[in-house]
Amino acid sequence: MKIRVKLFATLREGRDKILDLDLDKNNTIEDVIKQLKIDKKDIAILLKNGLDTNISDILKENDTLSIFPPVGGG
Amino acid sequence: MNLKRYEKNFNTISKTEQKLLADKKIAIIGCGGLGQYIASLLCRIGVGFLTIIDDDSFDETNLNRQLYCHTENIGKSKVLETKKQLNKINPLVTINAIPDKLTQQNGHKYIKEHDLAIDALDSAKDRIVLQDICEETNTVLISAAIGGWYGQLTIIKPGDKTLSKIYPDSEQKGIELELGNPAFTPALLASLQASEAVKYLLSKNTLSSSQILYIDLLNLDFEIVEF
Repeated sequence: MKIRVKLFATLREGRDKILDLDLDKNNTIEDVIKQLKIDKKDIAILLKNGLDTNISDILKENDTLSIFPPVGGG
Repeated sequence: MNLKRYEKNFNTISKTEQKLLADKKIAIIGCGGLGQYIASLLCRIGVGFLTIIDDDSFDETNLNRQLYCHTENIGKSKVLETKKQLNKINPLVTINAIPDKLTQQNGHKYIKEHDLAIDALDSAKDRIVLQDICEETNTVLISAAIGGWYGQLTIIKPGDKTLSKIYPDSEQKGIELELGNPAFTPALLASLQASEAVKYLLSKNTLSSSQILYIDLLNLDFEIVEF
C-alpha cells in the first residue's frame, strides 16, 4: 500500500521533505519511523491525515503522515 | 492624536483603524529574540498599551539577535532596557514593563484586561503555563517558536489547547538547543506575530486556530498545516 510522509524542519536533513512509501499492510507509524531512521526523541507532533495520532496506529492506503520535531526557542 | 507619525501606516490601515489600535492592550510574554522585535513593531504601528514581561537580563549571547541588546547594557533588565527604547520611539504608547517571570500564581493579574497575548517565551513548560493563564482570562494567544532556520506560528483561542498538542512532552528539548537562534529567524517570526496581532485587533482574516504555519528558511519553504 502507498502512503505519503511529510517531514518538517531538521527531520528533512539527510532525507527528502516528502516521501512516497510503499508498505506492507498493517504497518504502524512506528514501523515507518524506524524505516526512516528517525529517533523518537526527535519527534514532537505526529499527524495522520491532519489529525493527532499515536505511534502505534496502523497506517492505511493513501494515508499522509506528517512528522514535526520540537521547536521551542524564543 | 498626532497622526503625522502614522502617515506611512495609511492606507494599509485606515485612520479609523489607527485610532482603534490606540485603544488596544497587548501583553507580550518573553522579551528576548522574539519579544523585543514584537514590542518594537507594535509600538511603531501604534498599539496604545503594551505590557512586556520577562525576568531575564541581557548577556553576551543575546548580542547576535536581540534588538535592544548592545555592548553597554549587558547585565541589565531586558524589559526595562526595552521600555527605555520604546519610549523614545513612540511616547504615545504606554509601556508596562514587568521584570518578573510569568507563573500560574501571578499570571492572572498580569494578563487580564488585555485584548490579546503574544507568546515570545523560550520553553515548552512556560508556554503551557501561559496557555493555562490565557484559558483562565479568556485571552487569545498568538504563539511562535524558533530554532535555527526554522519557525512555527499559530493562533490559539481559549479552549483550543493547541500548545498541548505542539508540546505533548513539556520537558522535551527543542531543536534550538542544538541549532541556536540566528538573527533573521526571530525577526521574521516576530514580524508575523505582530502582523497577525494587528489583523486580529482590526477583525481582519488571520491564520485560523486549526492551522500552524511552518517556516523552513533553509529551503525557503512556508507551509500552512491543518491539524
